[in-house]
Amino acid sequence: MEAHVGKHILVRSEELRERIEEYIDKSGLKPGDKLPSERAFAEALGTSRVTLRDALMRMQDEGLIETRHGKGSFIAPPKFEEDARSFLSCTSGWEADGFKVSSEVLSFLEKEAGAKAARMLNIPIGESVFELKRVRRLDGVPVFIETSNIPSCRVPGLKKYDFSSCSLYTVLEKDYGIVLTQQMQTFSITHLSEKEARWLGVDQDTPAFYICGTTFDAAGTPTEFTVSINRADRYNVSAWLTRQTPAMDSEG
Amino acid sequence: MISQPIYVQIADTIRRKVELGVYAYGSRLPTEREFSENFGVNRITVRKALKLLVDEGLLISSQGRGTFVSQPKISSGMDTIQGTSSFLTDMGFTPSSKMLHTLRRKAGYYFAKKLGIPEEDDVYQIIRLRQGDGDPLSLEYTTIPFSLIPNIENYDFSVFSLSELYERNGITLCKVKQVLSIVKLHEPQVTFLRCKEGDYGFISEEVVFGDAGRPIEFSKSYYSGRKFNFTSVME
Repeated sequence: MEAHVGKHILVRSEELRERIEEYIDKSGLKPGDKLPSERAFAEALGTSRVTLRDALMRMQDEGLIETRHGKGSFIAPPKFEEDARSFLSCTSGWEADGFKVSSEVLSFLEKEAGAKAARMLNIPIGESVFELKRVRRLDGVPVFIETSNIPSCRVPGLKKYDFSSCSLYTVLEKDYGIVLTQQMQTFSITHLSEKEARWLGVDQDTPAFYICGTTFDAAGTPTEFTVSINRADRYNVSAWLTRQTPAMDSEG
Repeated sequence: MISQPIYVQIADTIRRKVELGVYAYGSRLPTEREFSENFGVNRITVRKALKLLVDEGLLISSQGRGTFVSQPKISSGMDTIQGTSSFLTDMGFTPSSKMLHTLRRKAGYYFAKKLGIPEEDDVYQIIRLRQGDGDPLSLEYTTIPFSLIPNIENYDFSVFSLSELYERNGITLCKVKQVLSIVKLHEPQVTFLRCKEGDYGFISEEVVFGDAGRPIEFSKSYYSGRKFNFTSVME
């Protein structure tokens, strides 16, 4: 089957997009601006309408443009890009980049740890944890649905805080003396449930990042287990990577 | 805490070490005998502990090769640079690369911007399908300045890796900026990655920098969402 996919298609599917991006940059089009009509745009780019339509569809599915039925194509807003390697609380990280963070608490209760949370926190299944579930907005745009699990014994009385207005990590540090210093995260892809789509204000067929993380305190004790569902049309993860330090003997 | 069977406790200890990075993702674990000596238990107990973790998906056991740390899906670490081939070898997969196409062309606006070179300069593009044990993993478009490596057109990238060529030509890689996004996949990606039109996947775009912060390579890779996830350690 692969033999039938010509080299031509491999290259062509990317090539027209380069020229579209060039056109957008050079025309100074900004997020929210409308692209030329299909006919005019195809002419300006020297391509057929069919090829153009294909390229625009790919760009839409990569979140670069938005096509509104009957109205045309528009430049999509830029994605919020999070540095996977800089460890800061959600609030202070984004605020440091100049974004206004707001939260809405969806639920906040004390419950029995489920299998996954128990495993990641290294506690018995059924032990009590606080579970805080919030929708986080950046500049008013709902982007994340974050669920945090913390063993109750580490944070007695956590229920009294209103996490729609304060930062969880600040509370942990200031009021419980818990400093979180390391986090391991796994990034996967998920579909959104109907509720999640509604909370994020998107169509249900929008893909999302499913980010599972365990956060450790200074002693290396797992303290928080998080699941974050981040809409992929407005969010990217970035990282600066460096050359690996000389490997330890892989046998031990 | 409720007392648990020894093999469960051993599994927990191994799992903690994986989570803390003592046993890195992709690395091979000590042998059964070594575990048996270190924990002071017999090999049957060790085997039960490892089986628990294999069933969980945390470890992969490869006949004749050993037991490796893995996720149910393949994880690509975002905290170190490792050429894809060595990463796959560490995981016990036989990596291979299928060269799909190479092409010399003008940089144009887009690659001039990515590589910090004039639009009129030539670039060389290598389109490859990366595989592990023959299964497709990613469809990769790599673009480098044409003048970077002498006689670049003579190399078969099913055999050579770019990392090897950089080393041979005295090119040092210093750092990489990687951006991960989630997209819907279309042709030709879905054919090569063996998934369906409209399936979700990752795009990883990487700019590799050499000495003096000079961009050397730009790559865009498509990964099927069913087979891959990414991990990172933040400090």
